Amino acid sequence: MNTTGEYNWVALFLFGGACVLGLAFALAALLRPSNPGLFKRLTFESGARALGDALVRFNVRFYILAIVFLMFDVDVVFIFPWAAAFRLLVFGEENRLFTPMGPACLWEMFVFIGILMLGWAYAYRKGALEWV
Amino acid sequence: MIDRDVIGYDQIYALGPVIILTLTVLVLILADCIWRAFSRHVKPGDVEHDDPAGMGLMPNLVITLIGATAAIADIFYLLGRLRAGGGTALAELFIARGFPDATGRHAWEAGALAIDSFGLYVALLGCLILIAVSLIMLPYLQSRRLFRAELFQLLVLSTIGMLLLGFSRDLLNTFIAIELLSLPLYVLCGLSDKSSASRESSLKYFLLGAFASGFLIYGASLVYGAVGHLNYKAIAFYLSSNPDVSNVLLAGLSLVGVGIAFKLALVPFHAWVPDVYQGAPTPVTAFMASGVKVAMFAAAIRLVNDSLVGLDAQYWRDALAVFAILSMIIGNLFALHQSSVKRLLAYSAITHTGYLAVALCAGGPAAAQSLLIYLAAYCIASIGAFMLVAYLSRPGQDDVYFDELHDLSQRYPAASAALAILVLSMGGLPMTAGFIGKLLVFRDAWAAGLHGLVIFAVLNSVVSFYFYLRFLRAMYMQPRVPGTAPLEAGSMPAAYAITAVVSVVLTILFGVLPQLLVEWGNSGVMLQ
Amino acid sequence: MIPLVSNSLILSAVLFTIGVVGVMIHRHPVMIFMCVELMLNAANLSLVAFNKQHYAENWHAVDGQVYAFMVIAIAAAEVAVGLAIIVSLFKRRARVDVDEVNQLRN
Repeated sequence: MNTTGEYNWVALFLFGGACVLGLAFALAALLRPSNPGLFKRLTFESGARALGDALVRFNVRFYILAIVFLMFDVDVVFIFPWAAAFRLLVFGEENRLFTPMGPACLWEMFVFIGILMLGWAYAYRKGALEWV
Repeated sequence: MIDRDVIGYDQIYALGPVIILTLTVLVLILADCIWRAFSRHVKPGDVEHDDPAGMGLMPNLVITLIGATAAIADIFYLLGRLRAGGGTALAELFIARGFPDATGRHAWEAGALAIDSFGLYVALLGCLILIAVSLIMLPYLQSRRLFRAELFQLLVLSTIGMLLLGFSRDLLNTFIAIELLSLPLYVLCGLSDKSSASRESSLKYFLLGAFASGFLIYGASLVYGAVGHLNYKAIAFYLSSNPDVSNVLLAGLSLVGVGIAFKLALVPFHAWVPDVYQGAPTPVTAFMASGVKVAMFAAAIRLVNDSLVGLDAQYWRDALAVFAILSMIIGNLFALHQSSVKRLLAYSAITHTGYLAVALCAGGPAAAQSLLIYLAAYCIASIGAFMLVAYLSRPGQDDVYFDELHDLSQRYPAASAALAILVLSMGGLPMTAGFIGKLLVFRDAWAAGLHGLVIFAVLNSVVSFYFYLRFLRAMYMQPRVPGTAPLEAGSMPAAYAITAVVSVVLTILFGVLPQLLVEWGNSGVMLQ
Repeated sequence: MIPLVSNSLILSAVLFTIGVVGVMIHRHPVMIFMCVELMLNAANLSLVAFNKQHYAENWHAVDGQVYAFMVIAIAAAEVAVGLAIIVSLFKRRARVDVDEVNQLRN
């Protein structure tokens, strides 16, 4: 089957999305009153005032979140190869349901994710996800 | 060039001790999560402020001790099975084999993990060290008001790394096990977050340790490039079947050697040792001095015996001998005039690395056995000595200085006597366990024809008595320096007393009746 | 030898050297740490390249690539521990410089 054909739909979605967005902005520009002032030109981000330079040192607290993120990051490194080989491992080459290794291969991943989730639960209880 | 079994599930029972310790870690984490699930103020790992005795740490200690005891029971069960089976190894896990030749015979066949008697004895030592260190951890934490429950998880994780390192016969496995051993230790060094020395030792250990592991894994990748596999047996087969050693392989093996020498603290890769030993909390130092040494030397002797056998000794023995000689000289020289006890013990650890490297130079099953005996004696002495440092040191400062030791025998006769016996055992005084270890190591090296190296090592161990006798001089002969406050250690907590008595008794017992230790080591011979 | 492989190996050797030199000349722990990561990734690259070289005709043999996954996982664990240690240093002082971490001396 021609797989590239399936991607045409993606292109269509992209095009459609861009059109809708452009239309919305164009309509808004036509309808709204244009009245620029000093405060309107300020960068608006979540109600916080823009201060200082963009090249500041990031808050140390972001590192904590980064460390927690790493867990999921590495998680995926092992889940992807497992998922890619899953069909072969569980069903075998002749498409039998469950090769001798099959159930073990299935449960192994649950054990792996279980251990990782335990670590995540510990980090959560420890308050690593709270903004202190 | 290889063919492999997917996994040996029927042999997974042989990993029992590792699995038991892993479950212990999981239970510890889970217990910590649940323990204070309904408490809003206290996070897991912390202990309540209205708990000055730190009894909240008790459950963690008990779980750790139960796990370690169960692992030891399992090790004895596996050793029994091994003897009953009469084979060389109980099980080989993750077996790979070279492609068969014309006659259908495989060129080599070996598991990445070999559960043999050598590995099981290393595991036994590891679990015993875990028990000793977690016992002395509790009174230490209480005296420092430093309540961190995570440290038990980290200690057990590090012990799992030790066990795997003892079993490992594959460079990648060795790398992973070394990391599992080291990563918790980096954190443990920074355990006492009030002390800047502790944080500093943690950072130094981490940066240099990570640097070393970079060398190790890049070397392993070069070995993989030359051989096509990372199994030690595959390397040995490649070496024996290719008389012209490729430069890629030599470069890879030397980078691996640099990485391992960093962790072993062989001079010139020793710079981190004194700082880290001094800055780390004392029970953690005891763990590093005993556990890490055992595990890293187990890994090194496996690498030498299993994979370097095919390599002409000129490629590695001379270099290792130079490192050994340098370690002995530098360790001794710097130890002579240290004012801090922990720093002196750190330099003495470097010297001991030198003696043990002499056994590595000799190689072979006999050297593996002597190495185990030496390490057992050294572990007993160093855990005991660091424990006494932890007991004697002032709460605010995690170290003891020699001028504080003056006159100690008058006020703490038992502690001084124990410290004296343990440091003399480190020096290798006859009638102590340390002497037996040294004797066996030097005998093997002599039998391997390394006469000059042995003579040099014996001379060095005579020199080293100078600084071990400084302990005796300070404690028994010198009056207190006027103006210095005496150490006020108070009465000895039960856990310290037990550890001290056990280590002194074992030191003298093995010194007087060496056959106990030698038979223990004999059955730990690495059979191939 | 396939040119692609030897080029990758040269690149990995260069990366490793940059990492080693970087560890020696940088003073900020985070920079030192990133150079260590560079060393580990150089090892990853050469593992994958050597795998390609050894088993060019047998695409089922992916040992080296699986080793690289393991190294990635270990490197991530190292990042977690290393960042935690550096953050705990940051909490105490505004500036972190390995030359200032010199309380323990002979």
